[in-house]
Amino acid sequence: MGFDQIVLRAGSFIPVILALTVHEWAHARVALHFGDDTALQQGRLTLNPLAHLDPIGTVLLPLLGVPFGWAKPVPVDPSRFRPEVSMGRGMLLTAAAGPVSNLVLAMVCAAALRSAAACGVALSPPVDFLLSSSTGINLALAIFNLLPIPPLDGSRIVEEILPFSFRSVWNRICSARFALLIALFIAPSIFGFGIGDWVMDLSARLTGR
Amino acid sequence: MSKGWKTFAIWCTLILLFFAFFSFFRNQPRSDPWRTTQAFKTDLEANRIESVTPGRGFLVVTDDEGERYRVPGVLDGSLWKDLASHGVRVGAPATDQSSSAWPSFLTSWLPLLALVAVFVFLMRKMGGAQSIFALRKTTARLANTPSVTFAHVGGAGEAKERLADIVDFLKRPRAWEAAGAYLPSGVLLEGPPGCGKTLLARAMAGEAKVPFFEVSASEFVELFVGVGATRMRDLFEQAAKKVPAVIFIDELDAVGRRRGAASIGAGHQEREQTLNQLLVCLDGFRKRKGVIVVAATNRADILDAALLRPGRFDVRLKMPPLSQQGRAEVLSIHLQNKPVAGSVERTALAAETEGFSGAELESLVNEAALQSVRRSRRAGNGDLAIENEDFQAALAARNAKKGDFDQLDALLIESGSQLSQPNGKVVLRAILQDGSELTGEVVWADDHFLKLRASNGSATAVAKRSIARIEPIGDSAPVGLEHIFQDRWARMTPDSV
Repeated sequence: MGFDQIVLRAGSFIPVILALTVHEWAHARVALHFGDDTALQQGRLTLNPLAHLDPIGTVLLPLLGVPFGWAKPVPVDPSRFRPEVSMGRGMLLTAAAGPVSNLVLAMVCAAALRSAAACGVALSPPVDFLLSSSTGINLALAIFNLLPIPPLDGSRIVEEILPFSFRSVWNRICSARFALLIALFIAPSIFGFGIGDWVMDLSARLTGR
Repeated sequence: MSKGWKTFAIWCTLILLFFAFFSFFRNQPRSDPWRTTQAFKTDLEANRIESVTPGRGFLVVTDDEGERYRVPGVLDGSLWKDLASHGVRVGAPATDQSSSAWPSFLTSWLPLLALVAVFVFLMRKMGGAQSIFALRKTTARLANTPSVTFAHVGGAGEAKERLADIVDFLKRPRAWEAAGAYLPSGVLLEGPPGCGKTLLARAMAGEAKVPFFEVSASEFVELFVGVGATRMRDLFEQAAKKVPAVIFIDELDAVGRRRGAASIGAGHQEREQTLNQLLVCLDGFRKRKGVIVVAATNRADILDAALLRPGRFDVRLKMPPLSQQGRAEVLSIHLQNKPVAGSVERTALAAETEGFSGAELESLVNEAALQSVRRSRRAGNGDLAIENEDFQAALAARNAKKGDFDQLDALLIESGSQLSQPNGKVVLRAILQDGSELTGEVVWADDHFLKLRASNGSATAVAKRSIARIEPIGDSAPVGLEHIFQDRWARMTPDSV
């Protein structure tokens, strides 16, 4: 394992934790907004990364260099939403909150980089690295989670948007979710282009370099 | 707020670590890019070379813009001449990168170290609810020397006396060991609910100023087989670390039930396993002195005989009902920190509360205190004191709860008697076989007895077969109530109903 790789890997550990924590917090916060306090009761409505950390998904895999990770999912119980909030819409917005929060975070980081560049301020390397890697990681996390494959947030959104008559088709797709996820991961090696490259490109455009 | 601070502190630490990490690795020599010898020659001819530092089999070249690169080659005589002619500085040999062990060590071991550190940290963090290993830990709560002492236990003089020996043993074991005596390792407190078994055990530890492990026997019962026994062992191991100590097992009958009887299904096996472990642990303490096991139960009759043999729970303390003096003591303890009017007579109150347990007395005092607050709120003046009338009101409220049934009746019901009450008010005169008369309202009747309450409030239970005749009084004819007056076993009904 090369020296630079280690720096990159360990250095991006903190942006990863930040992104996952904000993601889970956003789910919990929006759920609470709609009246579901399940996450709050379980102590998940916090920016404390320890509450959301998954020993394998958040620590082991990123440190081993697997470009993939997850945090403990925040439990959402739509039946606890306030009566005036429809379960479907509440679920949709709660699911969307995570990726949206990551998008916002990515934009904030990119904006900070751009404004620093515009003002001619030379950022110190760690800060620069933190901001640029945060942009990329948050962007990647948001887009990845918006994919409509069942365990991901995107599937919840699609589920609520789909007309009821499509439910059976959707359920059939859902039953193949494991295969779909695997396909997602081996697609880059087959087609030579995966979603990751696209995200990198987008991130570069956002930060303007 | 403290939670927010914790989050903040964690993030600060993470960011600081990040910066430390960066500044540490930025100072490490980065490997310079390789260039061809031709490029080096061109630079040399163009006088763009500032200095050359020989390395092992290569040269590190710094040009006039401060850029560094490497070229393969050694610093031989001809090159030396060339360099000298172009005025290039020749630096000291660069320290071989591999000669410093630190970076290579870090690069190979840091990820692993970080991983191990994080895992150890996580294991500690999550040691709570989810871990399967946590199931095996005892659920006992530990009080390092409870604040309760014998002074807080009213009545129970005899029990306190018996326990005083054990307290003394816990305080200065040497003296007892010198005499070659060993003290019981277990004390079993028996008594009806609310008679102060838990309090007494707690006070015993408090009196001896030793740690007190409190656990309910039902906490040993868990979904998984073997957990109960493991928890039991863990409890005793934890206690052994804090010698001298008192272990208190509440509601012992939950695991101490007699073995063998109707043991069908795995649930019983699990309980027996737990019980066996308890027996083994109790035996072990004969050798490891200084841990006293106190258990409490109100069903001593169903305990396994092995628990009660000498060397285990060999001291059996029956908690008797409180005497009048005991009740007075308990009352004074509960009245200690309350605003009590001077007119309240504790002895008189104790006389009125015949049959009350400690818990009942406590609840009575609390009820009186509530009454006093209500009274002072009604009166509108600010002075608050518990008066005699509050106690009377509390007693009345308590009696009202029991309704027509008094304490003896409650006892009968508890013992499984079927007491039937007439539907509505039935007043009658019963002429007994010996010619005497009893007049009163029927409170209840069971198979053999009839209870009549006279107009002055006193109630008498009378055996049905001693009644010769029954005369209804007033318009309350006991129509269809023959079964009430019939002694089922004696096959006998009073002559006239």
